[in-house]
Amino acid sequence: MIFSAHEIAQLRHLELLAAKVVRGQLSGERAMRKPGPGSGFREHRAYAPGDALRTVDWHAYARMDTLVVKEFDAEEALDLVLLQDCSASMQGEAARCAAKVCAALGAIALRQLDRVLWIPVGGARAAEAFSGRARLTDLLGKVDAEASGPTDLLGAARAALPRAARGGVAFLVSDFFDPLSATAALTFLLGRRYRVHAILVEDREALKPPPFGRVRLVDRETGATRTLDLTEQAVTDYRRAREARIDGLRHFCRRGGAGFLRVRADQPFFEIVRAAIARGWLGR
Amino acid sequence: MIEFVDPAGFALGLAAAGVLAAHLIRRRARRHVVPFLPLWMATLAQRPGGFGARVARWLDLALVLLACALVALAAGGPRVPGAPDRTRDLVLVLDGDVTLRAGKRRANLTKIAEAEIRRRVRGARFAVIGVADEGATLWTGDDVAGALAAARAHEPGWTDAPRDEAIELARAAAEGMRDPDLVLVTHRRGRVEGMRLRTVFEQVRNAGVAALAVVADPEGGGSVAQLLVRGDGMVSVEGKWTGEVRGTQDVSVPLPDAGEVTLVVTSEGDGFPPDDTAYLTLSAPPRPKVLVLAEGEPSPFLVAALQALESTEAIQGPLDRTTPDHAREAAGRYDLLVFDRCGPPERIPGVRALYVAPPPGALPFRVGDEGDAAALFDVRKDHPLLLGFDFSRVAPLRARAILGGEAVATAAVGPVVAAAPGWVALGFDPDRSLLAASPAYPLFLRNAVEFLAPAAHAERPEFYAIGEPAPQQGLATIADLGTIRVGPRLLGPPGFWRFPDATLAVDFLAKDLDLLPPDERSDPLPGVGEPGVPARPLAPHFAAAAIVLLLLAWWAFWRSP
Repeated sequence: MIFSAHEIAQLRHLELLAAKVVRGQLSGERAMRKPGPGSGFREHRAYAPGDALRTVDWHAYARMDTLVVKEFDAEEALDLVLLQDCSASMQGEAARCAAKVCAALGAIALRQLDRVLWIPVGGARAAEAFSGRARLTDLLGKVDAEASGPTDLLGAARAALPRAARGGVAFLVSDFFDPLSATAALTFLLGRRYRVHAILVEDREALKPPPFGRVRLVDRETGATRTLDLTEQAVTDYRRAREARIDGLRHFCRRGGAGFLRVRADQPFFEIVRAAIARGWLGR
Repeated sequence: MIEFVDPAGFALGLAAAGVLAAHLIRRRARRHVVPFLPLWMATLAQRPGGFGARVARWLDLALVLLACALVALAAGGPRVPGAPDRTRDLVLVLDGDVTLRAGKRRANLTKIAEAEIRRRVRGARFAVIGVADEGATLWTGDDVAGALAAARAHEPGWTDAPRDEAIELARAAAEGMRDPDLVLVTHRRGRVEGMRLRTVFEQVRNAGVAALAVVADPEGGGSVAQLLVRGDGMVSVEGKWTGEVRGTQDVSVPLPDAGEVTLVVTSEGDGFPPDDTAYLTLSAPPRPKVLVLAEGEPSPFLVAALQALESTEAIQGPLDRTTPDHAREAAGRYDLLVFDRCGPPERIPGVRALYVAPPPGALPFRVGDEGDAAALFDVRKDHPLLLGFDFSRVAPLRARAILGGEAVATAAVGPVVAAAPGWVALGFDPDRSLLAASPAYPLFLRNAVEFLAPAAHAERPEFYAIGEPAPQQGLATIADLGTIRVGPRLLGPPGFWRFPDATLAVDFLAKDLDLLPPDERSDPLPGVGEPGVPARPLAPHFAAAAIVLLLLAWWAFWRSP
């Protein structure tokens, strides 16, 4: 179990904020902007032929002698897409951090009767949809997956999301070490009318350059190797390239209207939650 | 220069360094797993193993190897070897001359000499050779107190004769020693001067006139200037002799009756400074001069007896020249006047005279009538005039009484031998006496000369301090131009100390005597023993240097970015 009881209790007070109205097929707790079946009073309107008599507000008729009908906000479920990077580059602390973030988001969504679509990127497990609070345990068991395989965000999103997806909220929790499809995946989700939030998880210990000298670098995902004489200049170039890549991702998210959050893998989970709250992604 | 305390540790350290070097040479690139290799693409654009990388790698290896070598050296216990206590082998030739203890400065000179010995022999293995009438090995060892006690017990004497013997002793004592220094402890100008003796051939190439001495010529009656010369330069003795001198050259210089002879000695290319000149002043040896005055021919017996005295210069004078003026003049020029059966025409004050059978006249005493004197009696045998013989058996036959002065011998006519300050009178003629007068007469004359002319001996001290001007009739002196003067007793005939294989000469320090220019090969006189310098360990320095190198290598090549 990746969450302790104390952490789960803390999550109970968090609420996922949807920035815009999305449609849902299940009657979740999210109020829609159109009238429909729900528990929340919306407005009165004049009775029209065909309206069900049980919708007539008889108390108002007694006072005003006019037939009016009560309308309620329709309550629809929210589609929450969680793209969790489970590739080999996310081993260790980064994988645990990504799992906790996804579990927290999923737990909040399931508690609000939203639908959760968990899509692992890499790894041995397949994407799976969760709905209903009873599936929380299943979700927590899924997100605690072993990291392996390459990173292919676009491929995983394409494979898991149906073409008729109607939008929702999508979280990409990854180190974004996807040379080909990191930005393509973001574009794809935005094109499907998802509110996209990118959470960059950095395991700085793993990113720390090795000591100076002759070193043979081995890629964790692909196993490719390169040998170089590591000097201070080489380390400077490496750090510069890393920051440039992150800056490019941040700018891309800003231009596309997507959220971007850079977190450390060893960062306490609630700090990440507070950062998400500050960005308006979560609320109590 | 570095030595190692623990060579085994050094070898072990070297072996460790070799192993580490092999390990470093065989070291391969470290394997490092990265999450995302493309991030290193910018770095990978640099060609692995480029020139800079190779230089850095070899520099890294060199630093590590150097550090390991320093560690190995430190393990070997390196240290800068210290200097042991500087001890010297010393043959100390102690001048036992009475001059060292002479006169009023005896005590001071002795004390100074002892102090000098203490200073010279401290920390040294030494032998003390005493030079006096006979050379003697006084002490051999390293006990200064014992050496000083032996030196004090050494009987002083004249150093003229036996220095060769002393040098032989010094040479024997120097055998087994390591490069011994020969030091002569003597005095000069009232202070002790240590002079180092060394072989001329080995160390004093430009010694030139290394010594100059004057000796009395025992056969010729004059003096001999002996020059010890080394080198090919010309040496000239002004006015007397000129020639090329090699080795030892004897130059005979006739001496005048009075006055002095000055030899100016110059040499080219020798040890004398160009503007330096050594002066040799020779004077006649002091001998009392005796003038014999008689009416007609003096007694041959008297003249022969006076001439038998080596220290007396007897001159015979005719009676007709015994005028008052002549006698007065002679009294000033001669130490003693002998009136043979005559007297002065008038009394001459201050004259020292021996009167032999004087007739009545201008005498400092009265003369009685002549009478028979078969024998002498009441003879004072302890009187200085009668030392060495017995006058009691002399039979004068005829004698006159000497009335005045102190009676030394008395006959029937009265006192016939009398003496007083300034005169001695003999009341009978030895030529006309019987019995033992003839054999005793030379001894009486010697005693009379000693009695009447002691001033000549008293004015001649038995020792002249070096540098003191020799009075006329005194000893010869050699003087350097200007301030430095050395005397023959210092250099002396024994000043040439010859070994079978080399010649030792007195090596004057140029700064002291201005005789020899400074020679860069000439070591200063051996001073006091110098304490040794302890060895300085270098292991901490080596270890610190190794640490610094390792830190440098770490900073440049190993540290994590």
